[in-house]
Amino acid sequence: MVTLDHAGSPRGMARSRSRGVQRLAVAVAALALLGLFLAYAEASLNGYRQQLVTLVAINAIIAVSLTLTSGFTGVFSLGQIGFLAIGAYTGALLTIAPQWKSEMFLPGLPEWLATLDLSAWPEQAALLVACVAGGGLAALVAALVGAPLMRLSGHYVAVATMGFLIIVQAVAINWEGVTRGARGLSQIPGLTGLWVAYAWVVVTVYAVWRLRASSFGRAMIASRENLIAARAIGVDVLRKRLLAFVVGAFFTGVAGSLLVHQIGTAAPSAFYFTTTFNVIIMVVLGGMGSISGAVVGATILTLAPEYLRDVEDGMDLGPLSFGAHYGLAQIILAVGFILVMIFRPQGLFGDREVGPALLGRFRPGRRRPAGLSPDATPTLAPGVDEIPADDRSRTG
Amino acid sequence: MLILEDVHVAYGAIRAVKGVSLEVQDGELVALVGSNGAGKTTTLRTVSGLFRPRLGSIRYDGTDLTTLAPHEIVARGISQSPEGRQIFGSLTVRENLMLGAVRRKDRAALGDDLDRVFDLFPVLKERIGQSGGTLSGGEQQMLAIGRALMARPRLLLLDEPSLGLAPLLVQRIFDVVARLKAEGVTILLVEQNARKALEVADRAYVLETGRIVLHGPARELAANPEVERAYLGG
Repeated sequence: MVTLDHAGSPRGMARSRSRGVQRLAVAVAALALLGLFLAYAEASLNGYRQQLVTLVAINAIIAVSLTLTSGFTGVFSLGQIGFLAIGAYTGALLTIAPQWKSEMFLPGLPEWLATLDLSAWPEQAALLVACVAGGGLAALVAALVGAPLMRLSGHYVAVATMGFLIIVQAVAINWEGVTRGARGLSQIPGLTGLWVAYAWVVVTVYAVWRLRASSFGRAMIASRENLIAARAIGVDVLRKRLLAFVVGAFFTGVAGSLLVHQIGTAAPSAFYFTTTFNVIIMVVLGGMGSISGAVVGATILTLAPEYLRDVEDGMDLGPLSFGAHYGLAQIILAVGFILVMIFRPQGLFGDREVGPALLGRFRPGRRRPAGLSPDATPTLAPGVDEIPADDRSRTG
Repeated sequence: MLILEDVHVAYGAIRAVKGVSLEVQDGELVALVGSNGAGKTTTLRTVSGLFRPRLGSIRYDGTDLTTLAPHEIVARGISQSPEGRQIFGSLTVRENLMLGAVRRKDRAALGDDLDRVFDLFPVLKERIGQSGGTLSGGEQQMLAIGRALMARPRLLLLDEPSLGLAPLLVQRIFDVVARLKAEGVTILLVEQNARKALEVADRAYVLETGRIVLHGPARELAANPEVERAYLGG
């Protein structure tokens, strides 16, 4: 894609080249830091903690996907977890050993899948196949479902995508010959480790960041901010939204496959409203238009309940002694979310990103003075179907 | 050449445009004037494909526009500067302008077009890295027109470019409109400020509650006692 950053001006070209070098340096430094952290986590943390850190990565992938699908476009999707389920079941069915598949009695599986045996493969190759296939199928379904749904906006698209989630749930529960119904699939090999999970985080963040920085990203943000203007100047809103929906579904599908290869089971209950709302909270907490916000939101929401669990068991604070109060962790978390929404409704990051040079959002002169932004609050885009109604009062 | 024939547009049960016919010849500056609620913006947005007419036809150089999506209409050389500016507040001036060229294939020429917009509106060059939301109303209007020009339109639709601007800025905007016309851009201008619009336009149509009630050369309309009483405050 041709971009026109400072086209024609040698000084501009030199400047953008030096910014490129700077960005590369920041990216390398960030990757090195991540590598150090993972090496430390692998060496020092116990198995449970390592799993938690891996779960942070998986949630971060889902949250960043939702940032692309909903945060950038303003299309509020409640169906994201449906793609997580598709990726999860697809990945699981590819890697569960054939003897377990026959033991679990899955008559709905085609012969090739029932007998497919990836256990002889190198573990990471098998997981890669499971992830790409899971993501790919999720993306395919997203393309089919999204074509009609992405025409909708606002609460219409929220309800319609929730309908998709309900359908996926119904299929997962009732297609017993393939999914084993409510009991779910088990004996999924534990192939997901720290490194591969974070490798996918890096791929997801990079892909979504590149999309955001492209003319495609500009057009997405434009259609979120002002649908009428975006369409009037020629943005093909449907296509932008659909691409965001499909790419978001792909990475969510990948996360689904990573997830089941970490926990070893795939049951429908893991892919429903609770998970949906958790991911939405991650994204809203971090800031609906921010990739780094999504990562931070996912980290907080994954780790906080674990640390707050100690609080539930009671503690002594000087002269004060607290007994055990179960449920306290959720209350503390919920109050925290309420406070953030009251005092920082745009989420922790809003539209901003951390890593100025890396992400190129904080260039001098681009910063909006606080309080001057007419759109600090991420809102649902006005609906395509709502234009006439909304327009009536201002029509000349 | 743009030709509207008996165009009807409705929002649900409310009929906003009831049989508008008008045409814009190549190189012309045609004004569509009328009071608030007359259906001017609706007419313009229907040309852009944002609304579908219930009845009637809209043709541009022989192509039927009524079945095309807005982005396809922009690709055919019709771009719009919408009412109320509608710039993208969190994107920079530069990003706003680049978005105007979103349908252009000849991306190599965009640098020249940016220069042309900066030539028309030098203040935008000073503000290039600033986010659109921080601009003043007049600057935002300039940005909206500049953004529409980045599509390198053959037909430019301007919706209320003077709305809410101080008199000095209104004059500046109309100077630019006149300059664009002199450069050969075909323009369909929607304005409540009938006096200004009739000054720059070649021909004009007067719209009242969804219908064209008068049309003719702009100079004749400006001298028409009825128009003077109703729209020029004479």
